[in-house]
Amino acid sequence: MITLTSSDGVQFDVREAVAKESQIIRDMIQDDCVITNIPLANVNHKILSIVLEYCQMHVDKTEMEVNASKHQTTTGEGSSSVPVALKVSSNKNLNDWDKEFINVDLDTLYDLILAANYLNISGLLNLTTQAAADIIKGKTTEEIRATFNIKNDFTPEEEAAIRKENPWAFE
Amino acid sequence: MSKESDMISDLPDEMLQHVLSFLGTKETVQTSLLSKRWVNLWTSLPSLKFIPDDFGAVYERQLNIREKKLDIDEYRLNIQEKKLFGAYFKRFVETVLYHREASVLDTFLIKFPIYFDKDKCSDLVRKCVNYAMKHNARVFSMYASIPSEQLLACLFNWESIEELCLLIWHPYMSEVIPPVVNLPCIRRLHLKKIIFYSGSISRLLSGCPKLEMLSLEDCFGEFSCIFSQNLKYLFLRDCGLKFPPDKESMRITSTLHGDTVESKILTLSGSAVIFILKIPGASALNNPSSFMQNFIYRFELNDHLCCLSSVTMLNLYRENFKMLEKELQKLGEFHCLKKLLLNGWCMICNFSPVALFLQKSPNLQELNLINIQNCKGEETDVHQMGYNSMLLELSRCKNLKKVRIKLWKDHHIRANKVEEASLPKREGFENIEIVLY
Repeated sequence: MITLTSSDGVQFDVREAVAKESQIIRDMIQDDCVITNIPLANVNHKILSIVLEYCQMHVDKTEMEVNASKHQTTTGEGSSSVPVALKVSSNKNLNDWDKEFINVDLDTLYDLILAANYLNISGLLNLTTQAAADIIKGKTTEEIRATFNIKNDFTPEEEAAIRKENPWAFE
Repeated sequence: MSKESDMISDLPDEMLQHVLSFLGTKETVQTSLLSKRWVNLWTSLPSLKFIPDDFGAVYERQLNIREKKLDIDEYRLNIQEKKLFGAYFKRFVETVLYHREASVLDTFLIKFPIYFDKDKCSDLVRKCVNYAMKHNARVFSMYASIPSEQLLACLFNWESIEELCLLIWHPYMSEVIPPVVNLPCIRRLHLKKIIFYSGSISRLLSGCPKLEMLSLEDCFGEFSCIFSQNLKYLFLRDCGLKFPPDKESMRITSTLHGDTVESKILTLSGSAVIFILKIPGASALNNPSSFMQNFIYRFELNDHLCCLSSVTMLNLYRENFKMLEKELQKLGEFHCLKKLLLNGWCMICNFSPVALFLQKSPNLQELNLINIQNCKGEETDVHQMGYNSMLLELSRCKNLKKVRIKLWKDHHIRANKVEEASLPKREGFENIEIVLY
């Protein structure tokens, strides 16, 4: 077990495998194998608990797959197509789970992107940035501004100049 | 964070670029209008993607095309429209390349619209390749007409490239692989619509010492000589031996993934044989007398079956094959066969081929019979005998755990018989499932 302490002092006890989903924690543990308490200065308890939920789910799924394939090889009776099918179905479940998981408000999404980047969890970073991209996709400039509260700090002349520079993009 | 504050712009550049990397190139350029924070972000993205579908909206407005979704459908466009589209695409690519900052380039992906003018295309292809090479792209992917000989020599001697994807519009009759190939870093290679002449594949692979994945789609040539030290994945999709394909020729689709080889042979008439061999992947690739060499020359079904004695799963489809009975009698055992699927073709109201398969597959665990058709005429004694021998073999097959039979409704009387007569009351037998339709 490893204890992770959030920036606001809340402690989380997690299995080593779960903590190791984070590249930065993995490196720390590798460098110093007696480490058991890791303070995380940039993640508060609310975000950390969401991140750990993600890690827990992904570790559990991977372990389930490994066990299933072990079972396959020890019995030796499984046909070649079964592990593949199993993998596909569990991947599908995990994708569904991810989709549900990332359905959060924009503030949380913002913090999750930062946390995923800080903790270096590539799966979560891809998931969160993809979610942000999906929100942008298909929206007009005005709609994107309204969604994220982006303040238009261009003067009308500046805006016209940008449009003029790359007219093909705004046609 | 209060509801009034910006909920994305304060992210560091790197993360905003990560977000932008999931958008089309045109959408990323559009974000430059959001605010000053965004104005130059798109110019230093590590990946470049040019896909004609990005322009759907522009085209629609320009050409008053009513349909919502516009695919690259060259047939629906007239010459003038094609010209206009092509010009847009060219301008788009050139402007983006011009505006882009010379930062790190990871991925360069371009899909030329198929209606693109050939001469203009070759000019733009050259520009793109030069740009990607100059900026040491790690991944380069292009869908275009065939590049010039000179450019091909460049492409196949690209020292820094790790993944190369070259998809050609139409098969090109001349030799595509240049005399010298040197791709020292390449790990993944995809090629489409390329004809390999004698020695081309060996020459290509000897220039790719680190290759881990090879994918050939719609290619023609001699594939049995694919050996490569580090190759882990091999995908052949709709590849043929002869170009142009004639009536006799067939296409193969074969994938090698981990330790399993899955193959499908498709003749031009659409008949298919699918089988899965469980053999160590590496030995299949490095062994000259590999599975591919075994079957690739032979087109007769019974010959295929001969060299499939070690398959673990066999699916036989379609009705175009002749009755198998005679050929089967000559065959040896399928020692490793665990799963068998037979489509109706081999038993139009005659079950004796099934009985033969059961006889020759002592380790069979799963049997699937589908699309069994009815006799058109009267049932004869021969049919009854075949049927009875199938029932007999079903009860003899000691390892059988699952049987699934799909029958036309009229077969229901038989279905009941199968259930009563052959359901062995022994341990391990899971179920027999009969589906009527």
